[in-house]
Amino acid sequence: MPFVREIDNSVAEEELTRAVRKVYERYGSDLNAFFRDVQERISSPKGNTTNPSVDQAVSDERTDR
Amino acid sequence: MSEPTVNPHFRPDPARAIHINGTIGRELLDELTPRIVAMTLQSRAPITLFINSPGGSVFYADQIFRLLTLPTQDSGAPCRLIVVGLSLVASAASDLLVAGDYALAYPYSTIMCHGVRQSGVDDELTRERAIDLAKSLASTNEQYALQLAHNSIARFMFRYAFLRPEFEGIRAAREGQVYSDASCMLFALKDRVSPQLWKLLREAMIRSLDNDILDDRASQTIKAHGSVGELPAASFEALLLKCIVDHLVDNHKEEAEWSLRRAGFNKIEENFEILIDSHAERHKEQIQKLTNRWGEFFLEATEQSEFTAIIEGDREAWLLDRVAHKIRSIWFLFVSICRLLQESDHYFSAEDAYWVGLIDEIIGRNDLPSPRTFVEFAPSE
Repeated sequence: MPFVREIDNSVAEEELTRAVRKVYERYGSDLNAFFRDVQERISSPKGNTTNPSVDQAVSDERTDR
Repeated sequence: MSEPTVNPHFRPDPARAIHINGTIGRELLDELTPRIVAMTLQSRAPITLFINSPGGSVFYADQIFRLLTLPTQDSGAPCRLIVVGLSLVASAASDLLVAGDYALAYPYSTIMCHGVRQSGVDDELTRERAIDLAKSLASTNEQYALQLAHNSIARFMFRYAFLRPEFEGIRAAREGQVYSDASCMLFALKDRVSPQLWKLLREAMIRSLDNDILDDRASQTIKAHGSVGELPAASFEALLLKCIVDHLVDNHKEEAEWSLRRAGFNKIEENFEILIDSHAERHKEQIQKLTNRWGEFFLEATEQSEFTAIIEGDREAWLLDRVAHKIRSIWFLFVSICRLLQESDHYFSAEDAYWVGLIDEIIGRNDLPSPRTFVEFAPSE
């Protein structure tokens, strides 16, 4: 049988399950409330990431201008 | 909300990437093999697969998939596979996309699914050969449908969790009629998908209702039997087969002309595959995992307050008892969708592919929730 993927118990999947549970603890079962907050966070002037390399790239881009 | 951080398990990485451009065949496998093997040995970090392909040989596509998921001497676990659909992702290429641990597509990409085809049949086609070929294709399509469902059910369950808060409004708008969660899910999807996909979803719903009824019947029979775990495999199969035959006979009791001999055997085989699959350990493990992740989201309002009163050690079993049947019902709907995807050609936009659970994320569409949103934006402890 092609493309058989075992049930994924990787670190990434555990991270996701933990994240889902944290969201439930804070927002209850209304995922829309969580995603509305995410939308606001993404559209805020600070941007949507704290990844140093991305922040550095943004900063470098500004310097070049 | 805590500061979001980039999570490499949910993002493509061009530094550890393989590209599939064009038709999938022997030549492509030969070209990619040394690079994939080196990459899997160099590190166990995720590998990204970028795809722009009309498809090709399923055999070679599967060989590429197996290479990408190779173990090492130190680790049996494969590298996490992040697959990105660039423009056209069709046929065998779409199997690769969906089989990824995390599947993304660009907004204007096209994803095409269909059943298997047999080309290059050189032998003269006799009646017997034609019957064998048809049986073989039908059986392969059925296996593909179940495999596709297993590979993508977590995505479809994510959509279910996201859309579920809308179900109360959907039921209120159709006062007087009882709608299952699966039906409500389809109504919630109606305005989000193309008319073509909506047609497929409606057909899938009709088919899954029958599976639901059969599953109930089989579950009751198994429960009544008691020590079913101790039965030899063949006796267990016989139990399921009897359920299927009784179910079909009941379904067609008003039709004087209908007979098992004339029309029933294909249906028996199809139903047998899905029942065997849904009582296998792998399926139970999957239900448990989905319950662990989404269980609380699938509780009714009254159950949610009960849940908070349950002591920590008892929660898992309590939750499984309350939500497993809902997950199974969505599972049967999804299997019906996957079966229909094996019939004729289905061209999907990235958005359709997202809503039907074939991919996790559309790049640049932050308005559509994805697993990445959870891991990167979840509140801190």
